[in-house]
Amino acid sequence: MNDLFKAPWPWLMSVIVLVVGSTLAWHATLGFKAFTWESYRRLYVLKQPIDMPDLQLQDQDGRLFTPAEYKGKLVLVNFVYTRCPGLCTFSGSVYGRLLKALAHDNRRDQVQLLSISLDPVYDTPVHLREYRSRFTRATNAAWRVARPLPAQGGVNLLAQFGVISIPDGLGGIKHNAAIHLIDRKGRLVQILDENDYANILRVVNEELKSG
Amino acid sequence: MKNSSLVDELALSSVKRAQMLLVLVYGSLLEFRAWLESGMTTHMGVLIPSLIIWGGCGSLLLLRARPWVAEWGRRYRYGLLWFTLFGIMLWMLPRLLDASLYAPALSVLKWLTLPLTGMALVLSWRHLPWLLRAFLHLEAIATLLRLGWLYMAAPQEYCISYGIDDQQHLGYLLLVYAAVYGGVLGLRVMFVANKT
Repeated sequence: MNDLFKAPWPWLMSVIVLVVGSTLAWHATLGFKAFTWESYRRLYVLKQPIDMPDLQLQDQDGRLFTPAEYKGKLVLVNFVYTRCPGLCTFSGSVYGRLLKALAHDNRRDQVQLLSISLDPVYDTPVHLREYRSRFTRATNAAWRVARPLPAQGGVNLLAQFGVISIPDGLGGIKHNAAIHLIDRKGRLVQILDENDYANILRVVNEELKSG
Repeated sequence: MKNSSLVDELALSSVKRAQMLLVLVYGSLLEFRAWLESGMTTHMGVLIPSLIIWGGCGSLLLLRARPWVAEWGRRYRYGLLWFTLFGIMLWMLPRLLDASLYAPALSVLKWLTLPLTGMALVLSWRHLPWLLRAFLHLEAIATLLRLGWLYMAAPQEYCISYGIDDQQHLGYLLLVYAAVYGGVLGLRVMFVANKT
C-alpha cells in the first residue's frame, strides 16, 4: 500500500495500458466477436448498413445500368470472375438454384440477382453470357452478370464492401465468396454464406415480408 | 565525455556499430516488406517475430548507452509488460493482419508498435518476479502450440489474403518454434539455472 502512495505513476501506467489495450481489442473485434476479416465485415454490416455505391455496370448483353435502378427491390450481389475454376462455379450454381426457386414462388420481380466481375478486362459480355449459361437456361434479366466498366468505381465498391480481390499466384483471383444482400433502400444489410442455401432463402423471405 | 578510457571508447564504438547494424536490419526488413507480407508464414512467422526481436535488441543497446533507463524499466515494469501482451495479442488477430495489408495507417502502426512491444518486454523482463517469468515462458510455448495446432488443423482460412496451405505451413512453423523454445528453456533449466 505504501508503494501505491509513493509512486502512483507506475500503477497509473498499468491502468492506462490496460484500459487502452482492452478498448482497442474490443473495437478491433466488435466486442470480442469477430477475429477474422470476413467475420468482422459480416458483423459490421449487420450493425451498420453500408450504402451501395453508385457505379456503371455492363451486363452479359452489353447493356449499361447502375444498381441504383433497383431501389425498391431486393438485390443479391456476389463477386465472381468467369475464368474461376472452382469457387465461382459454386457461386453460379447457387444463383441458378435461387433463380429457379424465385420463379417458382413468383418472386422474380421482387428480387434481382447480380454477379459482379472481379476481372472486368477479360470478362467481356461474351464471357459473362457464357458464364451465366452454365447455370441457367433463362435469358431474362432476373440474373445479370456484369462487369464494372473501367474507371467506373468498381474498386471503390470492393473497398466499401470489404471484398478482397488479389492474384492468387496461379493465374487466378483470390476473393471472398459470399452473397451480399442489398435492401430496398439500396443498403448492404447482410452478408450471407453461400454454403448455407436454406439460410439464404430464409433471409430473403424474411426481408421480403418485412417491407 | 569525462575520464574516458580506451575501454570506454571501444565499448561505445561497439554500441555505435550495433546501432548501425540495427538500422540496417530494419531497413532490410522494409526492403523485403512486399515479400515478407506476401505470405502468412513469412508475415506472422518471420516478420512479426523479427520486429519484436528487433525492438528487444534495441532495448539492450539503449540500456548500454543510457543505463538510467533500467531504473525506468523497473519502475514501470507491469505497465510495460501489459503493453507487450496487448501489442502481441492484437497483432496476432487474423483480422488486423489482413487489415494491415490494406490500410496504410495500420501498416505504419504495425511497423512501429511491434518493435515497441519487444523494447517494453526487454526493459521490464529482468525486474519481473521469477514465478511470473516462468509462467510467461510456459504461456508463450503453450500459445505457440495452440496456434500451431489450430492453423494446421483448421479447415477454413483465417486470413482472407492468404491460402489454406500457407496457413498450414505457418502452423507447422509455430510448432517448430515451440519445440525449439521449449528445448532451449529445458536446457537452461537443467544446465544454467542450477549454477547461478
